[in-house]
Order: sequence, then structure tokens, then C-alpha cells
Amino acid sequence: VWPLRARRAAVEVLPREPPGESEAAAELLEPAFLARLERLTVVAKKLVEARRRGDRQAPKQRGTSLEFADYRDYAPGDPLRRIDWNVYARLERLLVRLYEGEHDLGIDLLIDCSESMAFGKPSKISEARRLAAALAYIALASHDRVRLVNFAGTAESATPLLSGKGNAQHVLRVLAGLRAGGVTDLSAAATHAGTGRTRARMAVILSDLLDARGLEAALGRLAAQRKRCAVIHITDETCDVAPPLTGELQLVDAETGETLEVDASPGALNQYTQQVESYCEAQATLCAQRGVGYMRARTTVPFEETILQALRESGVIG
Amino acid sequence: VSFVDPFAALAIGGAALATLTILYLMRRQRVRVVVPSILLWTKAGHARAYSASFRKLRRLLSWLINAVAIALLALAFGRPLLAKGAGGTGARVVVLDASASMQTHDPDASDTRFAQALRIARQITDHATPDSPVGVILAGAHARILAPLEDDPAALARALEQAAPEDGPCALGEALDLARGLARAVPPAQVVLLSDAGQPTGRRAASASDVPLELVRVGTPRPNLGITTFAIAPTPGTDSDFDAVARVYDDGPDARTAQLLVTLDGHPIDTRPLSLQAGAEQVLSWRLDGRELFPQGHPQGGVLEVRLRPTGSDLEDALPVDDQAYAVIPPLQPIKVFLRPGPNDFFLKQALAAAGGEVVMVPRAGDADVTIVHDNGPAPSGPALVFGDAPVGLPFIPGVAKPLTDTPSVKGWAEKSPIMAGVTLTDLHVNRTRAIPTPLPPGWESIADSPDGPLIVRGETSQGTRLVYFGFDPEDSDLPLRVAFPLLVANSLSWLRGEAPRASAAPVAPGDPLPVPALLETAAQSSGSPLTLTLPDGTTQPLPAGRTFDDTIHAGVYTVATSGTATPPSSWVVNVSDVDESNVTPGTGLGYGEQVVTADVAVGGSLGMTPWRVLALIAVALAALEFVLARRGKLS
Repeated sequence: VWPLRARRAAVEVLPREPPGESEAAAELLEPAFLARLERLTVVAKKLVEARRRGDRQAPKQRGTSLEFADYRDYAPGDPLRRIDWNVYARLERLLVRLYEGEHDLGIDLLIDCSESMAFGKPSKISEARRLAAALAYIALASHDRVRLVNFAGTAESATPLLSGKGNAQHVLRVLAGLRAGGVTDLSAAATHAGTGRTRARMAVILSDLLDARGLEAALGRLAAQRKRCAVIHITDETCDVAPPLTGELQLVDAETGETLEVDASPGALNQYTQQVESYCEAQATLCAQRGVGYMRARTTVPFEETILQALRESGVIG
Repeated sequence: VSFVDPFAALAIGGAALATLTILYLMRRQRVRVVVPSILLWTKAGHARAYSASFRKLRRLLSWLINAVAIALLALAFGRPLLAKGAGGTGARVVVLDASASMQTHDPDASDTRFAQALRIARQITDHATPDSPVGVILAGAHARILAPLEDDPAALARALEQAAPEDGPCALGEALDLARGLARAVPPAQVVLLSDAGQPTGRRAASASDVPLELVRVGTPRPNLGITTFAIAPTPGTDSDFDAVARVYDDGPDARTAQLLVTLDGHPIDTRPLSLQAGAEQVLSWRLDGRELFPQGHPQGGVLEVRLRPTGSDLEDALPVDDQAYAVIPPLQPIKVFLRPGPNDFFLKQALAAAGGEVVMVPRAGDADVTIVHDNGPAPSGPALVFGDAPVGLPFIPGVAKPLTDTPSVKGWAEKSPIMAGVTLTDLHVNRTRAIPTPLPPGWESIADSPDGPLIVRGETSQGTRLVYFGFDPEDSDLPLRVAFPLLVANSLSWLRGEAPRASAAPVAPGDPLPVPALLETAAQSSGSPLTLTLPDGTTQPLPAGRTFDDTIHAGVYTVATSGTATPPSSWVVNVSDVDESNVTPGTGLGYGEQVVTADVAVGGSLGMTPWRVLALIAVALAALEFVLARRGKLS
């Protein structure tokens, strides 16, 4: 009510992972976490086995083989000729036919290490580390090759393409060393994915997608590299969707330092939340249009659940 | 709409509005919050909208609501008075309470209660129209019409300029009855009483309530110390000592300390520390030795003054006028009496001896102020007190002495006569009396009557000589055995000499006439110079002979003197000395006919409503609404 009430310097309202040593990062190196990965791998393999005909087969790849692999739900942007009209006649459900390829699979795990990933409880960067660890572990256990690429402003390979379960510990150590800092640049990550002597056939982006230049350019570059892509959109309920803010505020962008004055009234916050949801849907639509798997990972959901859901439903991986 | 306290409204409203505006104009320092990205905040259109014009509008709306709330609160502090609108009809009579308590100073209003009442009265008189005339009555010691029903606001304003508070209680009932009679001329009538409603509980202020009364109360409770009684009287059995008594009242919520200073003719003679309990009286008394006070005797008398001065940490006193009181020590001027010898004068001598120093016996009639006769010898040339046998020279001829058979012998007496002051003749038995012929000559009156006719008469001869005639010899009655006898003799001597009776030193009630003694008037006439009246404020004015002065509305000492004669001046005092006036806590209601009128509430009309509570309530509701809207983000 009164204008002079509590108007002072910047405050840390939103939870944020401190720079330096991180308990969440150290968690990756603990035996308990490795055991969780092992259990997850067993479950994941069963899921994958159920959807594959044999070991070491290439994952679903649209249009590269005439051998039918699976169905998935129709998404806006899918070519109409891929819709299985017979299934539609029987089930009244739009499904798209998927075909299997015959290539070895190498996976680039593109991990967003920008400053915005430090926010959240648990932080989005820790969620990205856990998801990347799980994906890498499952892939290595499945004799696929894995490369870690971290990006924030610029992208760099944290590891070369590695294969074999014996590299799992190395991968986990690398992941545990990742810290948030810098500006999100998805295009740089996509560009970097096209480098290297041996290129992976698949790229998985783990990011909060808070990039002013957008996801589309990055997906375009990955498509140009003829990679299969998947996007795991990491969001935090507290920091991204419904921040606990109130009053007349000056928001400071953690990555760029830019500021914006807003009146964080309940109505305005509601509008903002709707904007976030619209943005997520837009990203999902964009991915669907480009044949890219999209999965939203919330930090409050255990990573195992996210991985299994990704394997089971979304067509991101598998 | 008028205001009981416009200065409070202006001061509080102005300061609060200025503060509010400054707060809203001051540059805000927003809370800086670090967020992961402002990307999506920027994409949200509302952020931009709120940052520009809409945000300004919301701030303006918020300021407006707060400003209205403050304005309403300020109005409430000003205690608005909703006068009847110009379209109303009917007479309105404003009664201004001019009692002493209306001089109470209210710090909240920065003025006295009477000044506040005058402001309200002016607002009412400003609405006077031919259809709605207004009259003004001042309720002082006596009710006085300042303006009859009048439709000219300017004339009413001039009438109000004559209004001033007095130093005593007010004749409220008389004023309200007068107002009712005045208002009934133009129905629908209404009486508006502007008062602190300090009437004693249970007292009916008017004989009827046929005209609606609006009681507009002014004043707030204030601490006050006051002298409620101060009196002096000769000490019985002495000829020069006096006893003085004073009562001091603490009308406040706390115990107080004070000092009482006693002066005689301006010279301090004593101080007394006081420790007063809240709401209680303290009584103080003095024995004053006349020989010490007046070593040279006191033919001029003196004025004793007590003055109250609060001490301790709280020096506030709301009503200064009741902080002093006066009493007159009457001049010691013995009456020279010649008693013509007679056979039965034993009891008469005893009565004269009881008068102490007030009576001096002289051996010759020529030196006497008064001659006492109880034989049928020649009539004295001067004033005389005559018993039984009538001397030659009376304007009537008494009959022969006859026995009185009825018991009691006296069927009535003139209680208000100065000769009968303090005298009771109940069950008096008289054996024989002379018949006094009736009707009495002009200028004579009977002051005690038997069933057969007058017993005691007084009057003046054709030469202007005063006479008091008792138709019976005291020895033929049981009168000498009564306490009344020496009193009757003393009163008669005082009257015959031309003085007021013994009560002449008693205080005069505010508004009562000064009992100027005939001695002074006679002296003034004989010297050819007029009487001079000195008022409490020190001003003097001539007092024409025979004229009554009753403008004794201010406390203090009034002195009447003559120039060029040896007759000493006479002084009287007027004191507030009323516990109801010293009790300055405003009342809550007033008995009006058979009704009890509550302050601020009209009996039958809507004139003079003071809706400050409603305004305050609306202001608080507005502030709460603004707070809730701000919390919900609807307002800035």
C-alpha cells in the first residue's frame, strides 16, 4: 500500500545452486546412484527389448528402411502419408508408422550448462546431470557410443565418443564436474554436434530452452547433419513456471544481466505461467513438426521416472 | 455543512494529504530479483502494459482512494454539522449555553467551547430564510433573546456578536421554555441547543418537549481544578474574628496537587498545599483574627481572595475562571442605638447585647442612628423601632390592646423581607396586641400577621423616616425566649439605619442584582454626587440612584462608592463556586420535558447531525478496500 515499503537492493528469492562444489554433482559418484542407474538399465532394457526385435539394432528412424518398427501418436507437422489409416479405421486414433534403420547408433548428449540451469530445487543443471548420466549409462550398457557436449555460450566436447560400460565411471565423473555459467546458445551446441571425426547418429538436447535465438535454428542444423534428435526440456516449477514473486520488481536476467520492471501481482503471475505453458507447447509443436522427440522433464519428478517415460511414451529414445 | 472544529480538519487533512502525495511522488526503489531468464517475462505482454500507462493509472487510482479516505477522516475530525438545507421550512431557535463551563478551553479545537458553539450557530443562522427564520437565545444567568425569529443572516450575525459566556450556571430551563415559545410561531419548529450538556444528571431542562430539540454537544473531557465554595462568616461569640471555608474540587481522572493562596486586599496572608483525589472535594478552613488582620479596626472592611494554582507535573487546568473566589469581610460600623428607658426592657437589652460590636448604645437620641421606643411618649425624629404603645406621629392609630385567643398567634410572615431574614415565628404565642388598622397606608407593609390582622409592620413616614412597629410588647409574648428575637431586633436595626440585612456580605449569585444599601443612595443624594460602580475588570461606571444593577455575570468584586461623603463603599463578590460548572466533563444527554435527549441526536428533526462516525467508518472501509486490492495486485 505504501510506496516506501521495503524497496531495497537485489535479493535472491529463487532457489539456486551455488557455484563451486555441489552436493548434487557429487551424488553422481556415489555407489547408491550407480545402483539406481543399474536398476534403471534393467528396466529400460526390458522396455527397449519389447520394442526391438534384436540386440544392437538401430533405433526407430523414419523413412530409412521399409521395415516397420512401431507406432507413435500423430503430432502436428507429421506427413499425412505416414499415418496408418487402417489403424485409424479400427481404433479411431491417429498413429504414425515408424520404420527401423540398420545403422550403429552414436549419441551426442548436448547438456545446457548456462547460468539459468543453476536455478531450481533441485537445480535444473543437477537434473540434466542425472538425466544425462542415466541416458549415457543405458546407452553404454547397450553397446551404443556416447559423447558428452556441454554448452553455455560456446560448446565443447566433454568426452569423445565412448563406448562400453567400462567408460561409465568416466562419464559420471565428467558429468559431476559440469557447472552452470554463461549464456544459453543452442545453435552453438548444434553446430558443435556436427564436428568430430566420428559423428553420432543421434543428438539429445538437455536444456531449459531459455534461448532468445530459439530452438528452431539448432534443430535445423542438427537436421542438416542428418541426425536423429530428441529434446528434453527441463523446467523447474518454482523458478520457471510459478515463481513466488510479488510486488513491483525489477527482474534481472541471470545470464545476460538485462533487467525488466514488472508488477508481480497474482494476475500478472498467472499470465506469466500461461505464457510459460504456451512456450512449452510451442517447443513441443516445433519438435513434432521436425520429427524431433520432445519430453518435458520437471525437476520435481525423479529422473528414473522421466527416463522410463521417455522410453515408454514419448518416442524420444528407443 | 459546518464544522465544529474546522482547524483540526484542515490541519490533519492537509498534513496527511501532503504526506501521502509526497510518498507517492517519491521515486521507488524496486526490489531487484534475479531470475533464470527474462525471456518469457518479456514475451508476456502484460509486463509491458503494466510498466507503462496502466501502471500509472493504477497508482493514480490507489492515490485517489487513499486521498479520499484521508479526506473523510479529516472531515470526521472536523466534526461536520449537517445543517438543515435551504429548502427546509419552519423556525429554528438556537440556544447558546453561556454557562461558565463553556469557557473551557479544548486544546483539540484550539478554542473555547463557547467559541465552537458560536461557529455552529453562525452556520445555522446563515441558512435563515423567510420560510425558515432563525432565532437566537443566550442561556446565561437569565435567558436573553439575542435575536427574535429573523430571516436576515446579517442581522443574526450581528446578534451573535453580542453573545459572551458568563461566570455562572445558566438558566437552561428558562431558555428552552423561551425558545419553545419563540419557535412555535413558524411551524414546524425546532430548538437547537449548543451546549456541553453539563447539566446535573436527572435535572429536567424544560417543562415540556412539544418542540423537537436537537442537542449539539461541544467539548471534550478535560482535567480541571476548581473552587466550588468560598464563604466567610463572623465567628460566633467573638466581635472581630471570622471563619472562612473553601472547597476545592478535582474534576479529572487523576489525583492532583495544587496550592491555594489566600490574600486580603491583594496581600498574601496564607498558602495551603492541596492533594486532591480524582473526582473528590477537599475542604479547607481558616480562623481569621480580625485584630491581626485589621490592627486599626476595619471600618472599610476588606476583600478576601483565594486563588488556586496547580502544582506537580500536570499544570493543565481547563477552566481558569473557577480557580479564584472572593469573599467580603463586611465593614465594622456599629449601629448607634438610643433605648428610651421603659419598664420592661430586660429582654430588649439582652437582644442588643447579643449583637456584639455591631450595636453601640448612646445616651442621647440626637446621637443615635435608631431609637427604640416602647412607650407612648413623643415620636422620635429619626428611625425608630417601636413596641406596643404607639407614640404620636405614626401614620396610623393603633387600637387598644386586646388579647389574642387563637393559637398560634402568627399565621404568616414576609419571609423575603430583610427584617425577617433568618427569622422563624412558627408557634409564637402573643397574649395581647394592639390592632393595626388596615389597609395600611401607602409605603407600609405587614411583615407578620395574626388571624386578626397585622402584628408587625414597617414603612416610612411622610418625612421619609423609617419605622418598624410591633403591635405587641415582647413581654406579652414568648418572643423574647426565642432565638428569633435578637435576630429580629438586629435585622430591624440594620434596615432602619439603611443597610441591607446581615447577609450583605454574602456572595451575590451571578446575574443577581447588587443590593445597594439605602444608606449609600441617601448619602449620594445628599452629597449630590452619583454612585460609582467599579466592576471586576477595574472599569468604573456611574450608577444612577434607584437603578438596579444586575449585570453581575462576571466573577470578581463589585464596589459601589460615593464621593464627597464619609459613607464607606460597599463591596460584593460574585463567584463561580458551582460544582456543576467546575465539572467540565461534557454530558451525554439532557432531560427535556419527559424525554431524555442524547447529544448529537435529534428528537424530531435532522438539524445538526454530526455524522463523524459514519465518515470515519467509510474512511476506514476505503483504506481497507485499497489494502485488499493492493494485496491482490489490482492496485499499485
